[in-house]
Amino acid sequence: MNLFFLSAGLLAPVFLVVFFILLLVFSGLAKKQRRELREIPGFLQLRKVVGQAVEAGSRLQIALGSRGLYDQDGASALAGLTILQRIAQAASISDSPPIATSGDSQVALLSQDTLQTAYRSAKAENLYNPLAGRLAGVTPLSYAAGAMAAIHDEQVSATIVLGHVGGEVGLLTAATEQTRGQSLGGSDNLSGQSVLYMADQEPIIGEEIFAGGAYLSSNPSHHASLQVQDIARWVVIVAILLGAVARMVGLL
Amino acid sequence: MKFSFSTINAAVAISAGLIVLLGYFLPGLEFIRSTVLGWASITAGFALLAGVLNLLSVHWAKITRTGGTAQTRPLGVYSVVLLSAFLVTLIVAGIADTSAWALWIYQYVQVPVETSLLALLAVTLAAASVQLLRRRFDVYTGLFMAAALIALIASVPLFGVGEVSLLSQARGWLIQVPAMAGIRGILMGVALGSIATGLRILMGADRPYGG
Amino acid sequence: MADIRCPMCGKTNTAGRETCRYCNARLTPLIAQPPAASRSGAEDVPDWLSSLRDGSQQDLGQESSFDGESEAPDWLSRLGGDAAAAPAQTEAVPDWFANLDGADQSPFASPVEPAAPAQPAASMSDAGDTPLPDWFMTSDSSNSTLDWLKLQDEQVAFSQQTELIQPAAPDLPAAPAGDAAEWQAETDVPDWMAGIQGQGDLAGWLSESSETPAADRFGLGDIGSNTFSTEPAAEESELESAEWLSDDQTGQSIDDWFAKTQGSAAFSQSAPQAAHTPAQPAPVEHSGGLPDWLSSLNEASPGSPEPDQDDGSPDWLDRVRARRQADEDRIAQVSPNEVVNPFVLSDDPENDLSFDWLNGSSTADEQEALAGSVFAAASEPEQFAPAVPADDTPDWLRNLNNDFGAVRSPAVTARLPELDDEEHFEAAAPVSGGQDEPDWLAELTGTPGTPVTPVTTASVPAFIGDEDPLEVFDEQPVYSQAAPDTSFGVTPDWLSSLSAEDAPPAAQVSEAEPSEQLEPANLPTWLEAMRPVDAVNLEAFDEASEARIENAGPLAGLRGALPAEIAMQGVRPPAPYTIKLPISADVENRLNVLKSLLESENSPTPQTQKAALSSSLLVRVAAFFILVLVAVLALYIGPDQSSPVLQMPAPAAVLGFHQQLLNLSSGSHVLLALDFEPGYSAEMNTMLQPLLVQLQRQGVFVTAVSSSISGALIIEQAQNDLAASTGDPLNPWRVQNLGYLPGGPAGLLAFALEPARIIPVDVIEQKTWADAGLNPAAGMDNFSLVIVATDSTRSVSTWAEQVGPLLQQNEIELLMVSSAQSAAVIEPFFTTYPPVVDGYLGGLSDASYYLLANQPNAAANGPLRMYEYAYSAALLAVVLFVVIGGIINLAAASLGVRKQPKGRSGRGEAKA
Repeated sequence: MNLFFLSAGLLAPVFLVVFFILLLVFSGLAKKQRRELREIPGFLQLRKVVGQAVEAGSRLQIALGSRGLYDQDGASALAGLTILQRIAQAASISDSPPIATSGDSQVALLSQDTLQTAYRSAKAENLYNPLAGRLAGVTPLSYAAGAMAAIHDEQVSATIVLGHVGGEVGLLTAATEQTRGQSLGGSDNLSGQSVLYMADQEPIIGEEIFAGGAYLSSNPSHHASLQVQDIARWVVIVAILLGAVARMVGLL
Repeated sequence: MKFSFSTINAAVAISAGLIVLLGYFLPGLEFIRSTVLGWASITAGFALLAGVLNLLSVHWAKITRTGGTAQTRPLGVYSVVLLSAFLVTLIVAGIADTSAWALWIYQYVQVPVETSLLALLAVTLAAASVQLLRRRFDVYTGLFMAAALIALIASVPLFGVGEVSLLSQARGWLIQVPAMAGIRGILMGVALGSIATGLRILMGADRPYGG
Repeated sequence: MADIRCPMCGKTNTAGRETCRYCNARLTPLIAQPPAASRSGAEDVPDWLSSLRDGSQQDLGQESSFDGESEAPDWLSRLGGDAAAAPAQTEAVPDWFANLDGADQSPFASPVEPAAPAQPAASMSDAGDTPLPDWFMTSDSSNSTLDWLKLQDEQVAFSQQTELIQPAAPDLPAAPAGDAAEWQAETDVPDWMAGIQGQGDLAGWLSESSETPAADRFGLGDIGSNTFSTEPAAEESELESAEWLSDDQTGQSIDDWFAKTQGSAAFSQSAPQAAHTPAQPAPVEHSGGLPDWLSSLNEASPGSPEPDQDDGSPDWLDRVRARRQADEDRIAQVSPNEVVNPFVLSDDPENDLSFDWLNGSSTADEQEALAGSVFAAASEPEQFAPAVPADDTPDWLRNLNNDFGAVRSPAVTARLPELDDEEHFEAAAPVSGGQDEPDWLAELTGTPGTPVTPVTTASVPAFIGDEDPLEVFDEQPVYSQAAPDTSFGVTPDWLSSLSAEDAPPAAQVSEAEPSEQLEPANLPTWLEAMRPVDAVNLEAFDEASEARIENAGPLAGLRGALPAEIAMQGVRPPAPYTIKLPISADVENRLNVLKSLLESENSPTPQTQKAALSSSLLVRVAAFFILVLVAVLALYIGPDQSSPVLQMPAPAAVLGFHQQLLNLSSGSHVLLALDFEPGYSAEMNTMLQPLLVQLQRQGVFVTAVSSSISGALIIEQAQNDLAASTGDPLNPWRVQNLGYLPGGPAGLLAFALEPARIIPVDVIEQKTWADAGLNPAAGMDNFSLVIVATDSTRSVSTWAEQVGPLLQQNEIELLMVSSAQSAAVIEPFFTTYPPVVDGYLGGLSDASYYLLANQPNAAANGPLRMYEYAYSAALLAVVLFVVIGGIINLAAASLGVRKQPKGRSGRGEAKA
């Protein structure tokens, strides 16, 4: 067997175990002391947009993307659900509660549950509407079409993209712009990131979408995961450099 | 010890996730892993059905909504079209999912609609590219625009000119070195974020399933 | 004695003081003593005296039938208290007196039920409401009786405003007709009163002067009703007739009498009237009709009491006379400075009285002090010249007016504003007393022959507190040195010798102020700002000296009151002050914004009309037209054989792709995965056409699967397009359509491991794996090549990462056909070693290269070439559009920023 694949087969579980242990340790440490996070303009803009929507009584749309949990892109949907819960808690008192659209039925069901949990925590469960979490389309383009319809029909003032969306997110931003609303957010899809970079003032690039939980909530596990990610990133960087050097010298 | 639905949900989610994860590394858990994955696939099918029902409910609510003003009340025409198309497609596909009628719907309805959306997307992106410098004028925006233009120009032989060597090399270097590096970095970060998100769910710190 | 607390300011003063050293208020009330009845040698204390003694223990001024709201001044209370020190000799209240007010007790023994506060004090005229004693009422005197009672109304109304005791007017029994004795027996009228009756109609003399106020009849108004009526006149000779109490002959009002008699202002309701009426008291010529006891008083020589005059006077009167004589004798031996303590028991226990002033046992100093504290200021001392004590006139009474100026209660002063006016307190003309006028009275009234020793003091105010208390002690003597009138007893030495200079040291005003001067506190700025100190002209108050006496309003007669008029004149609007709150610049900015918002509320804001053609819409329209026109034009023109693309070497990926397909043998199986959306089907199907043609030409069996929901239809569409372009339409090339592969990467991995288990049959023809010539157990080993057609980078990475290692283990090549957007993602998998992807087609250009490589003779006007030609033209147009349009927008934005004020971005307008 290829040593490479063999090593890869062993490295993965070791990496995961170490990652898990560090996550536990830093979660415990985060309860006592929180480190200061760098400023991400996208989340600052998000806070501002949410506040403005609540004050104005306008509606927010949280686009969770068109990928499901079985996809590799499902993690971005989970990160989007975490941010959705925080937004829903903040906007539960709004005259127009937020809606969550997704292109996958599993994510749609989870968004309903997340909204209900948020309203329950905000002691406003009576204001929860099950149709607030909806399936807009089963394909990316049909999802974009459904989200565009929601922007026009629900008088959405701001569209927050938090999930896996491709180039079709340009349609959402164009529809939001036509209604004189705001669009912001991020995607783990490269095409979506490119489009959002052009459309938004403060786009959320790449893995920053997974940091939303730490920036919008005080959950120690989110802060801990950021710290572990930073550590793992440096580990990967060092491993790449060492591998490149080893490849150059002929070891690999 | 007090049990609640939230606790049961967390226990099921954590145990299933651990089984699938460990099944990738431990030899004896392959069967369990495949079984759990099979259950997940079946559950996904039912979730798809629930999602479709949710979609129908939303559009039915739009049709039957009476409150609000004429400006705020959504147009129910598109919802009527959607529901009608759903019913027709359901009937046709129910008979035969690859029948001529289904193929006709796919070929003359679905494909043109999505193609039009993509065409609209192309125009929108072109217009957004034109206004990008006016909306945000900084160094990174300039680099972004320059890279995009070089990639576009060098992707195909220039019309009437053909392939320009310099442009081809520049495009090649641009895609293979900085773009690919950025892509790999972003994907790597996304991967790490996905790992952290998944592990938080396995820990029970994040519970998107409620509770 | 304990320190005296001033009733006005509440500050403590040393004992013995008459006036408060702070506010000059009278500390001790003036008590108008009843006319001194002839002293008898009786040892019994007169009832009225004892009742006075007892009643003084109580609150004399609490209730009265006239004024239910009056309260006893402190001086009177103290008098009562002092009186309490002395053994009170309780004595049964005479019935006649008890019947006066309808009560069994003397008004001094028990408080009289007050009248309703809202109602004026019951006056004598209201005797109709309360039963008057029979002796008081006559058949024809009802009216007359009521007349003077009515007259009392006026005085009562004034008395309500005073703090003075307003003793209840006793309800005198109606004078019945008939024998006096009989009457007396019926009404328990004392003998002296009966004597009066014997001399005539009792009520007659009371009602004789019907025009005269009732106060005149008694001489002291209510006082007379209280003090003088507690004990009936023992003898007519001792008590003069009512006429002497009235001045009807002279037509003088009770005020004049007051001026004459130097009655206590505390008891005199007519005091203010006395103050207001500057009429000189005319001598009153008493005609007959005086009670014998009163007449006897007149007949008695001053200083020669006739205690033994058996004229029907009560014994107590006889005793008083006797003691008075004794006191006079003793006083004559006492130095002027010696004050007779009226409360000191006399040496003669038999003649011991509660009030030592009656026996003159007190020292002159004490008398003086007590006089100063007891007797309120009266009018001008000259007016109320301390009549040389006649034989029958007690010194206290004689010198009564002299003490009026000692201390003046500010409250009283306030209510008697006229008292301050010295002009009002003119020397009261002595009442011309007739033969029956007692000497003491004559002295009081200044009748001829009566030596009147003017009070050498300064103007003696008519009321309490009217005069500077110091003045009392500044001049002397307060009381004359005339022989005291012993008619009522010996004037206390202290009273007779009372003078300002003889004021006891304790009574000396202590000018010592608290040595410790507190420094004014520094108030906080916010409190200082709240003080409207500037609103009041404090100087105006300074102008109001203590000498100023209030002459109007409820504070009439009060000295030293803050003048409202002057204060109002000096009132200035409070100085404007600003409360400047320290605010930060941020707050100030927000305030300015708020201010501008408020100012702009009423100003109409022009509605910004939404532009029908916004810049964004124009750009979109322009891009649309450019792209469409270019593409249509390129399609119309079409490529030719000399297109540059055909002359360029194909990329390595294309060559590798082509080579892998050429290596396929006939009858092999290829897995074709169509992972693209229906929207990309036009591009993808165009790119797959050459591939499918080659596979068909080589006789390769294709098994198609799709991760898209519309996968089955996508495969069918691709198959039909192939059949339409090539092949035999009647016998189309069939592809095993496995349909939709759910589960994403997990499903794909599962399919890669066990494809026959995941998708066992064909979706269209229902063929199993065996029917298709595949080994269900072999899994992916059934396939020689795997081709993935996708439009997303995620699908590329999924196939390359999930299925690629497994295919490499089985040595199965992996080819990819992707859209131009995903080509960059595939290249690393192609260039790596061992490569995961053995070849790929990235976009229409690569597909055109493949077509030319596979089919060199392919028509140039084929769909692939046409689309590629149009794609390149449109791409160039987009690039030019973006470059030119970007430059124009940038220039417009720069110009717009220059026009707008600094700090304002133009992003909003750019969006519009």
